[in-house]
Amino acid sequence: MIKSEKKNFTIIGKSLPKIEGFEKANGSALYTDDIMLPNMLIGKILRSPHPHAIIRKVNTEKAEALPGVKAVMVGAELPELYGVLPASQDETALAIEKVRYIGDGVAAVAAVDEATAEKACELIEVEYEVLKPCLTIEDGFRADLPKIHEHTKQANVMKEVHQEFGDVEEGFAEADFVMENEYFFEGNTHVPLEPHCALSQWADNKLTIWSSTQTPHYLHVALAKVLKMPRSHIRVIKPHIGAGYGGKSEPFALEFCSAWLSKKSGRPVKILYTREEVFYAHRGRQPMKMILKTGHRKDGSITAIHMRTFLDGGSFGSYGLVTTYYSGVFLTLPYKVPRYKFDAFRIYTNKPAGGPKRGHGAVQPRFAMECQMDKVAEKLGVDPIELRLRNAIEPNTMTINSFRVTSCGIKECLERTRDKSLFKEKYPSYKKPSNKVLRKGIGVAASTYISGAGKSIIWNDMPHSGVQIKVDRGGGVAVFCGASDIGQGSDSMLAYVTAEILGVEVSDVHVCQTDTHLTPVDLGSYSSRVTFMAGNACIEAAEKIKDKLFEMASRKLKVPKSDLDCGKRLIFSKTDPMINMDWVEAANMAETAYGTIGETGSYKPPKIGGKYKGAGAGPSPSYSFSTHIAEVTVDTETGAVTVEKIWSAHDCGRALNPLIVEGQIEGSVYMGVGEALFEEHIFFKNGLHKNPSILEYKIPTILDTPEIESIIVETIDPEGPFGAKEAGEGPLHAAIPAIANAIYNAVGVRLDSTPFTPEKILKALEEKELAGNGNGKNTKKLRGIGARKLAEQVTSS
Amino acid sequence: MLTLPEFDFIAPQTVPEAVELLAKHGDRAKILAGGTDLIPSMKNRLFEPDVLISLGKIPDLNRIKEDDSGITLGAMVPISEVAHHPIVVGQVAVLAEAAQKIATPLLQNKGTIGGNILLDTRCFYYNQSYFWRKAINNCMKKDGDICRVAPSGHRCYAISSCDTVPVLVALNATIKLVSEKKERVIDLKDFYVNDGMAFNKLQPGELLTEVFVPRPPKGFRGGYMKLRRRQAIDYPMLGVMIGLTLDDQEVCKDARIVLGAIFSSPFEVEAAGEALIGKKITEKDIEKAAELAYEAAKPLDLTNFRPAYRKRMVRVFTRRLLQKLTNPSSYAEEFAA
Amino acid sequence: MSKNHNDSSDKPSNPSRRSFMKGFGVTSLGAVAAGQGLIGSLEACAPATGSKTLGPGIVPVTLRVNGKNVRVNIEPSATLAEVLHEQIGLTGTKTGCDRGACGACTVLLDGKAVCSCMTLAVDTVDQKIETIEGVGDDKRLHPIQQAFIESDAMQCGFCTPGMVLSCKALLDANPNPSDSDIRKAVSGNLCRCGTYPKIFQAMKQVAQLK
Repeated sequence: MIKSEKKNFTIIGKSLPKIEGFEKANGSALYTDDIMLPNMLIGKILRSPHPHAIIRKVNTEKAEALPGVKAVMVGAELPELYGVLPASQDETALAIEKVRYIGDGVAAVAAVDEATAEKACELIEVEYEVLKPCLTIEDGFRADLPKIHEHTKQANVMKEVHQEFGDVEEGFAEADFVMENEYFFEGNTHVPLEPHCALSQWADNKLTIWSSTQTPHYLHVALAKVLKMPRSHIRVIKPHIGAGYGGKSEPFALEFCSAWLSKKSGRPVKILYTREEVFYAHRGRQPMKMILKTGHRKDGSITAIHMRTFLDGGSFGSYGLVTTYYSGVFLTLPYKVPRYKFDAFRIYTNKPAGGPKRGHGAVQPRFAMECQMDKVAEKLGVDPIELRLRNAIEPNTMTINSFRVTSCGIKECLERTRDKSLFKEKYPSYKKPSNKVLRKGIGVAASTYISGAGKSIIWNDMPHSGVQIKVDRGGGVAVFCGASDIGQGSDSMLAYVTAEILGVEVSDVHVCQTDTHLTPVDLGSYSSRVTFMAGNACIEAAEKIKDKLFEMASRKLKVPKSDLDCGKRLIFSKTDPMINMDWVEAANMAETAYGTIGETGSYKPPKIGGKYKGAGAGPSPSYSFSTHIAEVTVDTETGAVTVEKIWSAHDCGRALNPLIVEGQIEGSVYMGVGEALFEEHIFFKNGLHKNPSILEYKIPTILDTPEIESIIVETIDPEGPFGAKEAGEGPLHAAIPAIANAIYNAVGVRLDSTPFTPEKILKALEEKELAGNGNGKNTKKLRGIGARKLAEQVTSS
Repeated sequence: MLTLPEFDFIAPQTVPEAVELLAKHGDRAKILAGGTDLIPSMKNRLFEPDVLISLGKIPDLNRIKEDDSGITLGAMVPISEVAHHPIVVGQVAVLAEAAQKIATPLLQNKGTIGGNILLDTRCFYYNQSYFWRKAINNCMKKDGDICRVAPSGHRCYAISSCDTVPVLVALNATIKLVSEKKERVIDLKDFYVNDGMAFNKLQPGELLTEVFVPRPPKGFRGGYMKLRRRQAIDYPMLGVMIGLTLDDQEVCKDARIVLGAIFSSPFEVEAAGEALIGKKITEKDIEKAAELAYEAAKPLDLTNFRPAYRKRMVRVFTRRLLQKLTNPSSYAEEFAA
Repeated sequence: MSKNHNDSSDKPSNPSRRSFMKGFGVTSLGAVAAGQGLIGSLEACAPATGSKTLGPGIVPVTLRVNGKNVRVNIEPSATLAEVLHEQIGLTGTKTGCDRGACGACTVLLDGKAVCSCMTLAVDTVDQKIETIEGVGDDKRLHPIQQAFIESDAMQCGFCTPGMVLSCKALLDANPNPSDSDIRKAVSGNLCRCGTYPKIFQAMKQVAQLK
């Protein structure tokens, strides 16, 4: 890996606008649904009204006979299994033998317009034999319910994980006190404003597909497998995406169906999901029941942690194998944990499949851990920030589960949010009992996240990210990279890095949107990996080009290469900047000397991680750290919680563009607030989605969004591009427990399950009152989580 | 959601022309006002009219008029005008207050006062897509046999969800209904029926043309509180309107307490109002009125927020509003942001 | 998504449910004299003028979009969002929820911000429609757009056109909005990337410039 030695930055570290700002501001930026091809057809998918049923018969004759219908397909036409993880291939483009949730695709049509496609779907006759559905985590362990997938060993348990590092029982024995609590995190979903869309054009036995995907490479792989054609004959293009947050990071039915319908009809086919279908596509935050047991010494230090998690995974694997691991493995950070045990179960249920939402799998256990830390501080009578500071890990440490931590700014995050928010004064003052109806509270939480995974989803030794840079004779620089900009600014990041190293202006750099015909593979926008990995690959490619240009400049200016620097389209001597030459001239000289100027760069994470079973889940070349402090007002009569302000400090290594980093922090906090207060991806008892619309699924408006103060903490990571780490997901996690802890500070009740609805707050206040009256016995039922009961059920089964 | 079903569209330019069209097409026609409820409902196939009669080109329906007796709002006056027009704000601020709490500015610009008055009742099981409703075999309000909320009941329990209506009822508003043959003016409070399906007394062929809001008496003060998850977008999960008229000695001459989004029609808790009349309102009176309102409210589980919570909030909102109206300074102290 | 494909040869023969009234064209709308009082009594009003029924099927209408007359052939059931996006090619108008809850489809109708997904295109004849493509001029972005770029008030950009239009409607009506005015004005425009703080900053910046 070639690294950049550059220190005096002209672009890096500056708050610059994004490169696509102009086209997004004037509405000319094209998203998949904005692309129209001549003769284009509109596709629709017919969906199952049953959560679990055998498909006896599908009759498409009437649909095919409808004028305007050009192609109809059923599941059996594409029988090949796929799934984003090679070890979890359990999906087909459309259901074949049975449907597994309300909304599962059964057949698809392509017609001349949307209304005709809708009518055609209505004309398809499907005979179902209804099966008993499995709809809860508890159901998942029941042997009397039919299996959702045949491959499960025990009932509908999709995955089990059991890890132990050190002897936790010994740790609990050593502890001055042990605390065990149940927690529940409700399912929620991404709600990108742009619904999923794919446009396929099958011509000359080749496929071109435009898709709103965060992971063009994985889509490329899956299309080849399912359509049984060489990957070289498939071109995946990613236009602008109306965001994803994890919700578009694996292949979806519409991509396969539009491709197949295009093949069958000989015309381009576009499928745009309705908002309702986006809720059924889901892949969002999985409901999780948790039992967290922690042992502590009197000084607050942790002697051992045992985490047990139960995930409601929905109908398919998705990233679930990873989610299951992520529901526990990160609890060895950001505190010193000498012994750790972790047991997890992920359940298949007859509901839309869960998957990775911003902070994948780690948000739920972080909620549990940070609430627990608050309880420990309370028990010890220690300031909760002080407790965290005492336990916080140092840079350059190795966790008990062999995660290598390099840069680490957790302490600085804690200190700076504490000081900015006046936590020390407010915390004890808000805690004092009061008769006021509106109570203020302040709470803290800390968290950590990965800067990309150390291992690719498809295990191989190839680079995780590739960048190719080409220089034209006029001084234009083109950057090609398969990284999928979903609004987080990754294309801009590539432009900044390239311009910084080559010494050109950002406006001279043109970043090609992901196109598998043109751009080298990058694994995609997930796991907060792009800045770290594509950034490093970009540095390598740019440095190689710079070297050639400097070679020319050195000859012409008669200055050693080591004395050269560049910027503002000039190459100059560091000792005497008046000795300089035009950048384009150097580029032309280099082309004369070497031929066409184009270089590539690659990034592959170092060999990191342990040797135990499941050791591949969790290691990252670098970890980010966050601390949030939330200030809330709780209305004790209505139970309404208003989040007044959140201070969020995030250690992102180096902010390549502070403005964009701030935006990522603010966006993460915003999303966290929604999960904390409003959002519930929930179902009726028959498995029907309760709120599949933006009206009923409550995402916060600007009026529900607190003031957010972002604090960027820079620790200059030794391996990150110019020292950068992730910023897109980490700052979400701590928002939720910080709000829970602030509610406790305000009104003295613990919210151990999300979201913190007014109903729950009032129930909790009632419990508290009953307990105060000595009637505490009756209160458990009011807000029961049932995780311990579940654990007993699992042990006995 | 589906694309809109096919229909014919006609935009009459006068009220007589509109009612003539209504008479001609009967129940094959629907009136299109702002469309903020009708258009999504049609995409959900709750309605498939053959003809849509748009009122958008009838200038007469878009006027606001003020005289000594009160204000008259044309049925097509947009909610945003109700929310911000100086006449409304000046004369019946509480109506503007309620209008400001409707949905979002975008919908306030399109939605109309007439549309709000005639708003269809709402329910978890009803306001869903065609696909969704089929997956539960529909409900009695549309294409089904039973109520999914109360399967053993005999009627539909969908709730009245219009923010302005409790306010208008408390203000003694009247509405004018015009048909081809006649016109009638009725008290808004008599217009509604507590049945989720037949929730008002609009007769076939009748067009709502205007609402008249009498000038509130001297000493009137009103307040509206709305329960919703978010500060925008959401329909009311409870609306409490209170109108008090106090004389110079602060003695209550009239008290109107009207609940929205609890039943299929707006519901006036008369006993609660009566408990206040003739009194210099004390904390105890407020508690009593709030308790009476609470007892009267019987919400069902068919929308956001649990029924028990919505019921409980009836008491809290009623109490708070009464405190706010009778003792604004101490209220402000307690609830200062 | 295309509702009305321009592929008329392929058009299914929609068996019409209606046969009572056929006719094309846009009604000519003159000024209508106000009756007595607000609405006037039935007797006082002129007799019905016989406005034309549009439909069934495709009808030609002229829309006034961004200062230009645009003639389109549309079904009465086509929403303004569909017509702008699919037929006129103004793809800056996005559809996010199709039911007025997200604001991505915001356009200005006679200067007022509305959701084009719940507006019938035929119902906007004679009204001024302004889309994101009509904001600013050919050479320069509008100050709001410029401020959005500089403040990074956009991430994925899908809400941006609607957001900009809601902001413009506010500033056009009120050049000195309060903080609360700004927040309320965009409270129907959801930004799932959570750029609200930056949108607010951008608007503060523009409001101060004015």
